[in-house]
Parts: sequence; structure tokens; C-alpha cells
Amino acid sequence: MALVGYAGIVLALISAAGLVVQGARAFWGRATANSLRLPAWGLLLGAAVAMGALELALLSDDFSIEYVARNHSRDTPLLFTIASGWAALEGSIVLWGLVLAGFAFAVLRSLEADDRVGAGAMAVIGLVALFFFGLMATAASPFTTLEVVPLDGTGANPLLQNHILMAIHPPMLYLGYIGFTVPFAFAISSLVAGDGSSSWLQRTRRWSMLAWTFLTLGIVLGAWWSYEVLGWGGYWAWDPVENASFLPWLTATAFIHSSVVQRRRGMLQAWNVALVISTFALTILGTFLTRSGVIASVHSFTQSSVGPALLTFLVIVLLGSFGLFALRAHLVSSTPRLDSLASREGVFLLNNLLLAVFAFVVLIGTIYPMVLEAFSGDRVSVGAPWFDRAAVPISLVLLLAMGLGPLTPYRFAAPDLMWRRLRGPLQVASLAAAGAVLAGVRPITVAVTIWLATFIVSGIVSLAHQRATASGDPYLRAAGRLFRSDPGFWGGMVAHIGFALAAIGIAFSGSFAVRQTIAFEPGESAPFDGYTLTYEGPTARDEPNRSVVGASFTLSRGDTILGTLEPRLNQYPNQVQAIPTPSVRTGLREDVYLSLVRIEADSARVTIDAFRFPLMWLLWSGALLVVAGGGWSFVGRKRRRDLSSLKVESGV
Amino acid sequence: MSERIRTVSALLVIAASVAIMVGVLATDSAGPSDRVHSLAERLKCPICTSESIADSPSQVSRDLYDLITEQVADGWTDDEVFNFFVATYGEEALLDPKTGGATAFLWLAPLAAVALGAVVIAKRLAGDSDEVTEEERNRIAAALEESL
Repeated sequence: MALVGYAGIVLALISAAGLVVQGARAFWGRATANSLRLPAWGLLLGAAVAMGALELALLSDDFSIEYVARNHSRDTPLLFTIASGWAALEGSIVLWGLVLAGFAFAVLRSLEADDRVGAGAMAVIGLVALFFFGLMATAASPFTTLEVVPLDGTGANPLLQNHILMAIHPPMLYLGYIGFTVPFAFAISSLVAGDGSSSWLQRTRRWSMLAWTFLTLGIVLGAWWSYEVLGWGGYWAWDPVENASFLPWLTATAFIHSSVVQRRRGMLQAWNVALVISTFALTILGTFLTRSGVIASVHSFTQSSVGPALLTFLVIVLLGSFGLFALRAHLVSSTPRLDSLASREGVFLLNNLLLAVFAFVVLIGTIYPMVLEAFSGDRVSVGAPWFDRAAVPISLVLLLAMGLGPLTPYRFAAPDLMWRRLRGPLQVASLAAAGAVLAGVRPITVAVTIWLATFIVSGIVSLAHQRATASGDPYLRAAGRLFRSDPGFWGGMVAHIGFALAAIGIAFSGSFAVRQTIAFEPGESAPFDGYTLTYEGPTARDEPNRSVVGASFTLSRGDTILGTLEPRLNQYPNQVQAIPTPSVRTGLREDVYLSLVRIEADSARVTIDAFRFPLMWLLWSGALLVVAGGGWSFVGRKRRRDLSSLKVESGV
Repeated sequence: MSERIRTVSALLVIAASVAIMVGVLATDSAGPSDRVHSLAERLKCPICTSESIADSPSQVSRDLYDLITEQVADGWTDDEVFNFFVATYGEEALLDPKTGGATAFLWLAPLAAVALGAVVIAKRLAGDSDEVTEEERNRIAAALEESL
């Protein structure tokens, strides 16, 4: 099996080289884009064989392969056996290669024979593939064999086995990460070609939306996993691993907004190229941070097999792309100037400035401690208080821009027009915030968040209402047609509503969280924040891959029994530290969240952390709405793709 | 409803709501803030990558949380608590890095980034937008030719 897998990697490696050579030849007009078919097929086939061989080795308990021996055991359940194929370093790079090969194949299908920029983009994708398959062939080989074959492996990572989300969160994130290779490749190819037009942006718009949507989904699933599994009650800790996924998301979000400005007004061309290069570079930085061990210790990464290679690749990407960008900057300098800051472009500019500063802040907060340690040996921490100090004000102003933007016309917003459009949403927002303050909502940041969120939602609703009534058709049909007529815009509006809801969820759950550590004897009851918790007794069971101890609690309020909660601790044979599974009861008002701290074996006495988080469901459903909005702007656009109109738009 | 009535009523609604908010929030007596918790939120759990002593469910953090509670009860100032943790665990203990010394850069750089962004935008706005450059003229000519 190792040989088959290795052959797949070699095939993919040769095909990637072929893609680079043929892509470059087609780019300079010495071949047609059709000549890329063979290497693209080869890349996909090789990557699929490598992934398939690794999965087969896992499923057939082939412990002669080191990766299988380290990440799998005979007791690992089927689902986690499959997920082990991408859960550890080497396998994750195989999945990376497979996704990239799939994307390369999909891009090729959209190329016409004389498409030189497209062929150049394929060559860039080929270079990226060459790097990752090169890693697989050398430093991060998943098919290294063991001389002494163990009878059983050590088993999958306990954190992976503990929750299904850990099996799907990384692939979603990867689909997002790798998706940005496509707009990056087209941007680079256009730069090399000296094509200063917006066509690369037009052609990769759907790719950007697809990648952004998956990246968002990946981040949300990661946060949800953190909440559901880690047992500390939070979902975001400004951990370097989290920041690694958040950084490209910030620049990508800036990019999908500023590319609208370029399409509509021909502005920000150079800025868009810079953003797409940054986004791609940040995905490589993210891979470096999460996969090289640099977070655990700055000095450990040089011993890791892939750390130096990833860092070198990152430097090459940065120097190469920005060097090329500097050489060709005169081609992409935009001509139309901003007429007035009081315009849709002005709000987009504000959005971009804020997102860029946000990304910069997160970037230096994440890497500064590592750089400082590498050069001076001093260890410092940069944590939530520091990040929050920047993140909270930036996010609030972003929400304001989110509310204003869709209601602001392009070019120039006349004050009387703006007032007519804004007065409705302003009234609704002010009434909602005043009502919340009267109802006892504090502190002021939460009241401001309510104001902003209501402003965003009511602005979008009033916009939709206006357009739907203007058409004269039956209301629902008009609204439906409106929604389908411009999926890019209305998908964005759905995402904005999602953000508004999530913001309320974040503000409430953060400001009104209650945490209490309580110890119980069996049968004992204790009050918790208006509820009563009754400890019914311990539970224990052995599962094939782990042993589980838990404590059964009855949750009641007054005389009403609300349900049973069973927080657990899972003990895996390959790790001393038990992994908690908190038990969460989600309600319309609040989540009650119990996490088991310890359970004494003889007396069955337990200690738990009990949390109350108000309106958590708003955070998760808002986040999913953001993903749905991104998805709609991708799916809906498909039917409207009209190449001739795009050419006219970009030609002038 | 005439345009004027709409404007006046909207202004009234907004003004009244804002007045309520300001009135209630201004007269609100701030409850005693939980000093122990806010201190624990700014100190790193020694065995975690980024969680604070307040957030981490580890036993070490629980013990340190109790220690901070004692220190606050004994009348320690915030700085005394921070200095104690820096002396014990090194500067790594501070999740909120110092504004001076090796971490001054962390505080200055974001401000510099905002300033830079504002300057760039201001420059674009102030740029002589009425002037048509040679390059622009060529592009316009080319576009015209293409469309004819």
C-alpha cells in the first residue's frame, strides 16, 4: 500500500511539473490550454491515489506504515479512522494536495484553448502543487514504513475522537484556504501578462465566494467545537491556531468587498491585488503556524519536518508576489478617483481600512511573541485583553459601516436622500436600544451592539421592502424575484443580518456569562442562578476506544423539571489527561452548560463547572446565516454568469 | 403623512430614545466591579497556550484564582498582584503585555497602522481629481475607439 501511495505522489509531482511547463508554454502562446488536460488529470489521479492509499491503509489496519501506527488503532471507530486520514500532519498535506488538484481540474474546465492568462494561472497552481507534493515526497511523507511492524497502533488523537466536529472542521477550513489559490493564481498570471484589467477579478469572483464561504464555515465549526468539547465555556480564545484561520478570513472579507468597488467603479485595482496576495500568503502562514510546532516553542519548529520548508515557501511567495506587484504596479493603478467619502465607495473604503487594521493587529499580536523569543529569548504573552481592546471598537465601527453601506448610493450620498433612507432604521434602532436599557441591559457596549444590530437588520428589511413594493407585483413573488435577481448583493445582505444576530449573541453571552464551581454528594441539590441542579448519581461505561465516566444531573426551575444533563470525562488509552464532554441545554433565553471537573471514584462526589450563557443560539444561527449568505451569492451567481457582459464591463 | 411631519416625528422618536438611554446609563450607579475576576482574566494560565486563569478549567488555574482572591482580600494593589505573577512565572504571565520595554511595539504599531491608512485615504481624496493624466487620456481614446 505504501508503494501505491508513493507512486501516486510521484505521479502528482510529475504532473505538477508538467502543469507548470505546459502552463508557461501556453501562457507565452507556444501551446494551447488544451495541452494542460493531461497534467491536470495526472495531478488529480495521483492525488486521489495517494489519499485513497492512505485511507485504505488506515481501514485495513496496515501498521507497517508509520502514519497508520501513530494515528490509528484497531479500536478506533470507523468514522474517526477515515478522519485520521487528514487529522495529522502528513495526512493533512495529502488532503491539501487532493483539494488543490480538484480545484485545478475545475479551473481547467472553464478555460478556452487560447486563454493565456488562464494557462498562466494553471502554471501558478502547478507551482503551489509542486511545493505540497514535494513536501509529501520528502519531509512529510505519509508512506514511511516501519521495519518492525507493531501489532496495534497508538490510536487517533483523543481530541479528534472526542467529537465529530473535529473530523469535518479541518476539511472545511482547507476548502477555504486552498480556494484562495485560484484568485491568487489568476492575479499573478495577469500581473505577469501585464493585463491591468479587472478580468481576473471577474473570472475568479465565484471562486472567492466559494473559498470565503468554506473558510467562514470552517472557523464557525472550530469555534463551535471549542464550545462543545473543551469544557471551558468559551468559543474563542485568541489562540494562535484560531488566529491563523481568522487572519486570511479578515483579508478575504476585505477582498470580497473591495472587489465590488473595482467592478462597479474601477477603483482599488492595486489594493485588490495586494489583498489577494496577502490572503494567499496568510493561508500559508496559517499552515506554518498550525503545522510546524512553532507555537509550542519557537525553537521546536526547526526540528519539525515541515517547518523550515513552509517558512521558506512563505518567504518565496511574499517576495515573489510583492516583487512582481511592485514591478507591475503602474499597470494596476486605478484611474477613477473617489468623488466623496460620503458614498458607497467611501463606506467600502472604511470597511477595508478597518479590516486591514484588524488583520494587522491580529497578525502582530500572533507572531510578535514568537519573533521576540526567536531573537531575544524573552517570552511574553499576548492574550485576549490585548486583542479585545482592538477587536471590540473595530467590530463596532464595522457594524456601523455594515448598516450604512447598503443604504448609501455610489458616487455621492446627498444628505436629504440619506436622511429619507436612514430615518426609519434609525428610529427602530434607537427604540430597541432604549427599550433594552430600560429593561436593565448593561454595560453600554451591549446597548450599542443592540442599536447597531437593529440598525443593520431594519435597514436591510426596509431596502427589500421598498424594492419589492416598487415593482407592483404580488409582494412575496416580488421579494423572491428580488432575492434571485442579484444573488451577490442579497447574499451579502443575508450575511450582514447573520453578523448582526451573531453580534448580539457575542455581546450577551460575553457580558452576562455566569460561572460557578459546585461540589455535590450523590442525591444532593444545589441552586444555580435561578435553576436547581440535582445530582442523581454517577454513570460509567466502556466504549471500544475509550472509557467514559459521567454524572447525571436533573435541571429544574421551581417545580418544573427541564431536563437531564450528563457532563462526562472521556479517558483514552493513549493519553493521561481525560477529555471532557460538557453537557449543554440550549434554550431560547440562555444555555445552561455543565462541565465535569472531577468525580471521586469511591464516594462518587463530583465537582462541576456550571455556566449560563444568554442567547448563545443567536451566535450560532447568526454565524450559519453568514455562511448561507455566502453560499447564496455563490450558488445564485451560477445561473447569471454571462461572459459577454463581463467583458464589456471590464474593458472600459 | 407629509414629508415634514415624517422628519419631525422621526427626530422626536430618535431624540427621546437617546435621551432615555443617556439618562438611564448616566444615573446608573456602577456596581462593584469584580476585581478578582478581572485580574484573573489578564493573567495567563501557566499550563495553557492562551487561556486566562479566569477561563481555564485546569486545577492550577483554580488554585491561582484562589490565590488572587486571597491577595485582593489582603489589600494588594493590581500592580502588586501582576508583579507577583511576573516574578513567579516571568513576563509570559501577563496576557495584556506591558506598554513599555520589549512589548512597546505591540501598542504603537496598531496606532501607526490606523494613522497610515487615514493618511493614504486623505491623500487620495485631496489628489487633484479633475486633472486628466496622459495615461488616462490614452485609455479614454482607446476605449472610445473600441466602442466605435
